[in-house]
Amino acid sequence: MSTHQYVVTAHKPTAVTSCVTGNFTSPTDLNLILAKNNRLEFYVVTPEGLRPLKEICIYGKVCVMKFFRPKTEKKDLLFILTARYNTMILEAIGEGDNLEIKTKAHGNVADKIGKPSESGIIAIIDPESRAIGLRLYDGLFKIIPLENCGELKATSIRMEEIQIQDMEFLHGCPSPTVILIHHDHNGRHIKTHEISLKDKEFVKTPWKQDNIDAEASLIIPVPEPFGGAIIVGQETILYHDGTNYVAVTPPVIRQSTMSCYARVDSNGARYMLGDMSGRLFLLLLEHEEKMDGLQVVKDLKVEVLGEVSIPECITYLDNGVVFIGSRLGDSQLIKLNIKPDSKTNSYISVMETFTNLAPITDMVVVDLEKQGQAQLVTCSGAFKEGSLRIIRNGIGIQEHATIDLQGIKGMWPLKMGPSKEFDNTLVLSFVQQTRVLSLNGDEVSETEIVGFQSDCQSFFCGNVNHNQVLQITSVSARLVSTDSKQLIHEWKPPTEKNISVVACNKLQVLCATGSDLYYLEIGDKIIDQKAHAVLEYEVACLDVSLLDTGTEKASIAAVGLWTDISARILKLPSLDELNKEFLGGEIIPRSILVTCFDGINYLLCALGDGSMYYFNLNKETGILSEKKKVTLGTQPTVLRTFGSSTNSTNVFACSDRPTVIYSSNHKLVFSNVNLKEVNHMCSLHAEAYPDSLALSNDNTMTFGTIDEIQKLHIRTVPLGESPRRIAYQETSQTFGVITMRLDVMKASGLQPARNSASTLSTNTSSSAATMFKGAVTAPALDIGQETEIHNLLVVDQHTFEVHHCHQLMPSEYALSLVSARLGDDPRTYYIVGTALVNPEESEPKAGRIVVFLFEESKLTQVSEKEIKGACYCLIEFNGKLLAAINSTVRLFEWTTERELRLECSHFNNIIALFLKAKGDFILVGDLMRSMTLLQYKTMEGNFEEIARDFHPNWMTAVEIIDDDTFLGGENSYNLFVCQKDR
Amino acid sequence: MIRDLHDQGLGLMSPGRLRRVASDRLAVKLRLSRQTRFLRNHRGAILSLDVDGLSGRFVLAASSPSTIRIHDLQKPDSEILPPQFHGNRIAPTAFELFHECVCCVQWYPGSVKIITSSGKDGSLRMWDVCKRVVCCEVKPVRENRLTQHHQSPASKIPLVAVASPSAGIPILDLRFGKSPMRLKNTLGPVTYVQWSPTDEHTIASAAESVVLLWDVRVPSKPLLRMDMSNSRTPATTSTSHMGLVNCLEFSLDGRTLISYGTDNAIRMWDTQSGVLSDVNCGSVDNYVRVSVRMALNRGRRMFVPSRHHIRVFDLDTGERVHNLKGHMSDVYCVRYNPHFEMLHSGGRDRNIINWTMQNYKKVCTKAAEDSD
Repeated sequence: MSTHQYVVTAHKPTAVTSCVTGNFTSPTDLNLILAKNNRLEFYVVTPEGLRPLKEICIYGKVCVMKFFRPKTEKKDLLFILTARYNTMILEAIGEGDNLEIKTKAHGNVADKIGKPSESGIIAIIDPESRAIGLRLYDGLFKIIPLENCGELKATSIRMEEIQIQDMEFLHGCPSPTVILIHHDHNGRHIKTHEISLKDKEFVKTPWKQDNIDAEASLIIPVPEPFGGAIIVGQETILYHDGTNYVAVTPPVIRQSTMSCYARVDSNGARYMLGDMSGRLFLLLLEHEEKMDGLQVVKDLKVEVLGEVSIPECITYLDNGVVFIGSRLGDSQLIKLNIKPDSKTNSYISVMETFTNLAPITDMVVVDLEKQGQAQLVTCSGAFKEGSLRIIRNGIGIQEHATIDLQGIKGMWPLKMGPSKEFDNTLVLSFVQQTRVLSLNGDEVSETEIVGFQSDCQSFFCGNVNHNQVLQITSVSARLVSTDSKQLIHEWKPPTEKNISVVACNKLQVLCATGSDLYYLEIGDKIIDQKAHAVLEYEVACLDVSLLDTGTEKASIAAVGLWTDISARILKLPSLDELNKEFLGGEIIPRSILVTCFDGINYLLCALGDGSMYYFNLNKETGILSEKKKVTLGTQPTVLRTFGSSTNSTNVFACSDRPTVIYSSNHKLVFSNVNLKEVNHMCSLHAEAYPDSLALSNDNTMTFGTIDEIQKLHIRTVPLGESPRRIAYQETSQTFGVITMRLDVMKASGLQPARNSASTLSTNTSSSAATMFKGAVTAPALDIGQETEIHNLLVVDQHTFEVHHCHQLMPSEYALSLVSARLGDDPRTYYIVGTALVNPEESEPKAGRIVVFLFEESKLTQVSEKEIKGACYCLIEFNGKLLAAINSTVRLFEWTTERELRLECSHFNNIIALFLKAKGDFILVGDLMRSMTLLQYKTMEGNFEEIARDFHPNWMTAVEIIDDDTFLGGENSYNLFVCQKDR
Repeated sequence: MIRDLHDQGLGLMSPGRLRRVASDRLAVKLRLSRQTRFLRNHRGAILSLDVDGLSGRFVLAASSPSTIRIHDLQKPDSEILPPQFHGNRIAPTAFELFHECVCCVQWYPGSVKIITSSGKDGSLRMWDVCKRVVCCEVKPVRENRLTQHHQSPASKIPLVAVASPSAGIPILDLRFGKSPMRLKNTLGPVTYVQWSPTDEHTIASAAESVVLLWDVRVPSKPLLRMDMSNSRTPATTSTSHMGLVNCLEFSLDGRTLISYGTDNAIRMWDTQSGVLSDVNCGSVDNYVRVSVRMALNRGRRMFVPSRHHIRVFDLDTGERVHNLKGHMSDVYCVRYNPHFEMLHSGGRDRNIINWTMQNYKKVCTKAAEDSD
């Protein structure tokens, strides 16, 4: 058997790794370009905000992205270097819809040999666009001349400086000159090199400065008229231009490591700096004019602007608007204000936030509403950007207006008067009442149509042929003129029975009174009864939808009956039965619909319990084939067609779990809608609400538009600390979340660095260090030093409130979490696996498995087990607990004394990081030895290794697809599938 | 390690760096592999080992008097079989080749189809492993035996340098089977040659107690002469070691040359300046008169054979972090397998030992567990 797996991306990458601004699409457009892993997004900056222009995907991971502008060009060109050392220069050609991104030049600059630099890839471009400089390998500087753009070819220059922190080209130099920070045994130094492009060599060192700040890591080249460069360290900021030297040690930058910067003014007088904790600073160069007219830098001023998302890159757009690209949290568009906010003292106001799910450290799939719609809850972000994200799949409805109206039983749009294109009237039906709303622009007012009967419930209203409107009530069918709004003709069933079910199109009407079925046709000012049939049982639902868009008359009708629970296809106009299909069961059909998706005819029949049958329908013979059943909700479902702007048919299933049914690749797709409950809907094409839907539930009516395609809906629950692991416990309706926060040593002892979910929790407890004999004493910390504190949070599944926070011992790392029922114990426990980390040991030698019970909104520790190593993974395994501890996989039993007892172990790993179980099989993911499949032998009470992948893959995740197929993720960003060799 | 794994998950640490850090940290966990043991029927001492650079799966071994074997890590216990063909690609399983008085073997860089071997019969052979035939045989030094050879991993041209007791180092071009040049003035019989892993022109040689660094484009005289007294102007009598130098190795970035001599010293030299670094590894017992081979992992660990032990050092500090005991007699060659983070060693006791970080126990009952 050979199977193929395929991977579909449900959500595009959201973490911003690089951003630049410049004039890319035209000399006047200000563009923002974002690199998100392998995607590039092009925006244009407008007074209203960012407008997306284009998105492209490249085969590679963007490492460096920079703008440059050769002297001959009016626009900027985009230089990109990927993680696999492919370089390219991109150019925008054309405008509007014809905008294309062309590759102007490209080439691979990888060497066969060479040791990739520990401090990462550096790529820099000469400000006068003479050359691109690359530092990919230690001790080598590569230079790409930019004179003739063809293939990008790099020449290597040997550098004596090996460990280079940062590198930049200086402004205003006659030949390209680089400045770099390098470090050796003595500390960090800055040095400049002038490059001869002709000889591809470093020719001289114009100036250098030894022993600067020990943590200097960032160079900012300063453009003319000042020239030189700013070197940012942990404590000092230094300006140096070869002759002039200014150094400051502002207290505000203490304890912050600057990670990125953005230039504000083109003359280089102001810069923004972002640090690793998400603070934004403004750096100002104060200058004075010398006697000879030279501008020199006199002083440096640093000011805190406020707090933003932890930035990965910053770019200044225009008018005080700044884009903060973040990899660990949401990216932001912020505005810098002239005056600080009086409360927060921050100069920043956030204009827009761009949701980012990365980095996802763990996730669970749960069905919170018990409706079969799974949601994903992820541990996203890190440090202060840590959050839980609840991700639902479905079609979104953008709400535009809501009206509070109770008890709507039906809704229909009408075109009254001269209006031909737009709907201007909405008929609402209630019990014993029909009301008419007129839509004027976005104003909605109640009105009356004289010819309508308003004191009873309408079953149908709609425009029909010959400028007429049809209203069907339980008593009669009324034909009303659209112009005069007067009654033209009325048809009543010949018997005195009330009309119970109707179905209509522009020309044909089907009315049922009990088991009598009447077929009517609408003429000019007349309703003509064409046929009458008596069916076996009472009619439950009816449909005469048109299958072909070209025709006006339907040739078949569909009927669902009470009592025998059948769906029948009738021929029109004779009402002869073509086919009968018994649906089975005891639930009556509530809505039936004949429709055509992608040229295939279907019959959909929804039942009173929320399930739906669907068939392929032959419209000539009425034969139904390929019966399938799907559960849409739990309440009676009403099916309605609506057209979307792409002109394909869509069906809206109104129920407690509204669903949109459409066809993709000749298969029906059932897509959830992000609404709680919909009882009735109709499509509405009004002037103020074009291509919209009117939706009603018990209390309100909503006008909204529907998304073209289904996408993910994301809700964020900010935690303010790094979430690490998550588990769901159904019995207590909670999530368990392991989080890590940073505490700072202060004079008074350890204090949390900032408020977060674990510090704000009302119920707290902690593991006292004395309880555990193997505990490592907390390392003595200097004042100002940070330490990691791990917590177990118990979070409500609905409100996401923290019910309880349990703080673990100092230097104890929580690594794994599971919610499990063990043995015969009826209770469900949260079980946490930890490691006691001693930084001097190569691997942890001690840890704990702690069993917690969450009951009556209190978390209590039930049991703990000392282990000899770090517990990287815990899973429930047939009522027992399976743990990956350092290199071993161990199985624990839960005794009646409520203690964990070791049953058996498996040794043959370097570090067992991941476990998954299915039946008796256990899949183990190793740090560097791919996957192993174990089988638990119940009789012998031990493990047997039955399969192993011999490839040296460094694992990041494992999963069992089925008994023979296993999915692995490795740390070079690949997924691979292993199959059991038989 | 836990921090590093978390940082990798957050994207704060690159996978490559994690590999190097983990490799360094877990080097102290290396122990005898009970799972991947090669068939122990070599008839003589293991003189040379090499791991293929593509997959790390095939281990090439030369044993005295004249056997070359290829072992497959995935089928360690398999019998010596003829190679199997899968379409165009071969899957060499363990099998045997014959080269009289073989002393050194090497995989052709970037290939699992070609190997080179040199022997005391004075011949250098290039083998096609698939067909098990010699595709090129050269006798570069007339009437003399070869002691060691090394093919340049950095050069685009297949260049092999050969060490022999005669003065001078012939550089062979395997495409023509000829010796286009010869490095002269080697200051005595050459015991060891080693190409730089990063620079295609740099080659180091050891003759008696002198270590020389050459640029192959200048064959007439060496670029640098390593002087253990670190004097500015090395005298013609200055030496690099007090005894015979029987091992040379470049660091992965090609910036440091490590030499190991029978004066029980390990010395590290800067390849740019020739300056002796102040990293002190202490005294490491070394009395073997033949060339031995040390190994480096991709991080900062150095594995040095010393009598019947393998000492593990930190490259930066010279501190000894681990000691591998397992061989019964002198260890001649140590090779690190970066693909599997394994160490292979061979020696006079005719054994090839695989050292792994894996912890393996076949049976694990509760009783065994409780005593653990």
